[in-house]
Amino acid sequence: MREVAGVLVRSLRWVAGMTAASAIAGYSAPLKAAPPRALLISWSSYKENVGYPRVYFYRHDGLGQGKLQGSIPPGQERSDVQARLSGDGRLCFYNYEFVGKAAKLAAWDIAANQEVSLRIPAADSVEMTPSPSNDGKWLAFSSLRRGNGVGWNLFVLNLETGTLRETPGLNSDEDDRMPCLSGDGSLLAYAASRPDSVGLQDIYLYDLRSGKHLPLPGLNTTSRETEPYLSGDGKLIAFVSSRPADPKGVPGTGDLNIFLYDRRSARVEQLPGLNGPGSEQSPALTPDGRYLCFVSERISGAGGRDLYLYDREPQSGSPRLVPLPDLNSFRDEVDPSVTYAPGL
Amino acid sequence: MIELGERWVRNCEGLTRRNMLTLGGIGALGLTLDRAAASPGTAKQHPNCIFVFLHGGPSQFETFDPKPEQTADIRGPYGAIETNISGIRISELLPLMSRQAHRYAIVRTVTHRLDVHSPKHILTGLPNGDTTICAVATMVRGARGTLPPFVRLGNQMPGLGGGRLGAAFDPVHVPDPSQPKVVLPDFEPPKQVTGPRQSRRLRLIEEMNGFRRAADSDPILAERDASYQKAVSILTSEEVHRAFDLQREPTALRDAYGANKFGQSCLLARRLIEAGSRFVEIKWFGDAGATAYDAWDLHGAELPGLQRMETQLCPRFDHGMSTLLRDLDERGLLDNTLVVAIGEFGRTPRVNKWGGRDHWPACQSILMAGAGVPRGVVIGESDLQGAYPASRPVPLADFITTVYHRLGLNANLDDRLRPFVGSGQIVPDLV
Repeated sequence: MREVAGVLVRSLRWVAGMTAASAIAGYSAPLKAAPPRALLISWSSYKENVGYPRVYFYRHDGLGQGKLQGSIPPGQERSDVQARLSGDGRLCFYNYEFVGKAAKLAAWDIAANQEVSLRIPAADSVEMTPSPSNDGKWLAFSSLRRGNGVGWNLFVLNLETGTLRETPGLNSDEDDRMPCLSGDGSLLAYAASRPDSVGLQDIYLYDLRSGKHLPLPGLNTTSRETEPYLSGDGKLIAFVSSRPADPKGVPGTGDLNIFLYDRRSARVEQLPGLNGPGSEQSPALTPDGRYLCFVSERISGAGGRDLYLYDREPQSGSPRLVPLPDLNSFRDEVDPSVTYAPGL
Repeated sequence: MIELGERWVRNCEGLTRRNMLTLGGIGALGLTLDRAAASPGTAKQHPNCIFVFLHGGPSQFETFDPKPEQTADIRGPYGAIETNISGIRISELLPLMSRQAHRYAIVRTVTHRLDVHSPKHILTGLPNGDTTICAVATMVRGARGTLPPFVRLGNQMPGLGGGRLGAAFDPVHVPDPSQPKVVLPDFEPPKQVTGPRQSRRLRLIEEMNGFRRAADSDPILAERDASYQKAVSILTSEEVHRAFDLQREPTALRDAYGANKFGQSCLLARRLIEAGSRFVEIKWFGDAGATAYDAWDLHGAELPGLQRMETQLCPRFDHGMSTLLRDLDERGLLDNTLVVAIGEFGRTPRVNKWGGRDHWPACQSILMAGAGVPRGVVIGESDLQGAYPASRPVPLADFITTVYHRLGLNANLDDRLRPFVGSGQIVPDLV
């Protein structure tokens, strides 16, 4: 009996380990009936200072309980926004800006509760929208620095060497914005409006290994598609679209809604119960694509823009919104990022 | 009267001097000694007005005058979409407004030289004016029923309101209609003063006023007391409190307007016009103490530059304004309600090094709707870069004169308006 129990325990540990490892790697195979796991959420809030938002951290049990887990200390007249967590939940990359000065990027070690030195080639230019790989080796960002295009350009930084990666054919003469790296740093999704765009803004996917763009059939429409967010393995892309009601496809409402594109099926998936009467923006996926955190303004909310958490594959029942107790305030909450809490 | 109030406060049950002044301040309900007579509805009502001040100065490129054919340094990151009026395009950031184009007119060539973040020149027509269009119109039209005729929603604009007309023509101010309970600072008695207690105090005031009148036999004071009594009746009016209660609206409609200060202000403005107010100013919320957050002043040095048009400003304006126009029209109110949306100025044609745009008064776009303004039209065209009017320039003075005209007031001929307006011409395309 003792031997059987031991085998059983070892088996369960192995399964848990494989699940955790696959979640960090970003394996987005269906996880139906998987028990919920602790999440780490970061976001910026204006609750303490209407002029200068701060980055906060929040731990959630995946079901409906959660609490604040600290914040990045504020700077004098400094705004901290666009925070993105590394897939392993150790680091938070964000944007900071002092009044009248160019926005720059920074990194924060959450467990050590201290800043991490970030080596970025200096440029007298704005740097925004950081997006790290899961392993903390790569950081994509957008900047107005002169690159191989004009306007907003995208860059991928090797965080270990402090050098910029070669990205042939990535940037254009238009504004290339809103980058999102896959977990392994091999794929980069972003938004741009180019002569060959299907619509007003399109989402593009660039393979950093081959230096080529990958097709996204059925994703872009003649409307605006922006704010792409990749699952860890790059198979899923959450994004914002202003597409109107379309009886042939997944309908929108004509303002801003969130959709999910599965590259394996080349289809836009349903997200029942996610989009509401207002505008939904800023989607963020856990590495395995199960949870989607986003911003919306609703009368039923706490006030202004609030964060919402959506479980695509709950253990029982249909996909649904999950409570975020004590997270939202009467002021704006913006720029969410979500991953699994470290330590599993 | 204030002197009486002060003495009374010192001897009585704990009311502070400030609270008594607050009660006395209900004279700022647009009711004055000799002009407080309510104007009951007539067969042809004078137009109402909802005047939206887009604090910060919205970019014309990312709102109503996009330049999609230009290079990225002028066009910016965003393009244009067709509206439901053939030949009219607006920014892709306003998809809901694009479907309401049949309800409004765009003026793309308002022009002036005032590069200041002051609402004065916009709300008064004069660089240093202090008496807003709505206050002047209140002076002429008076109240229409029980509701205060002139209300301001959003942050206060110190030094702007009744101005030279006096505090009696200042608007009733509601800072934030998006709060669960709309608090009217001029209406709310101190917490410790219950209803019966307040009524006893007011009766005491009336008795003492009556005693003084008998002693003074001054007819002016008698009229003033009547004014205060009217103000008190508004203070306790169920009709007024109902009008200000947004929770009476369906949640779905409140969501359609937008669960934010601007959206709920638009909804409240509709309710107030519907209930009998005449003039509502909405100041786009730039919170005091903030940098440029939540205002349209997108120089780009404040994160994240033009992206804030995309994620925050335009979606909120799109929801609020499109729903307001549709709601007013479907309720039969738009034909008798002038709606104006305008900022201090436009913004520079060329995107700056921070990814934003700077001040540009030479050419700005504005929206007008209702009260006979032609629907589904564009007045004036800017040049290829959106820098200067290429045709049909509309000087600010002409815009102000036209606003008065749409309110049924002739700024050039009406002596009552002469002290408050400059000289301008009516824009014929807008009448």
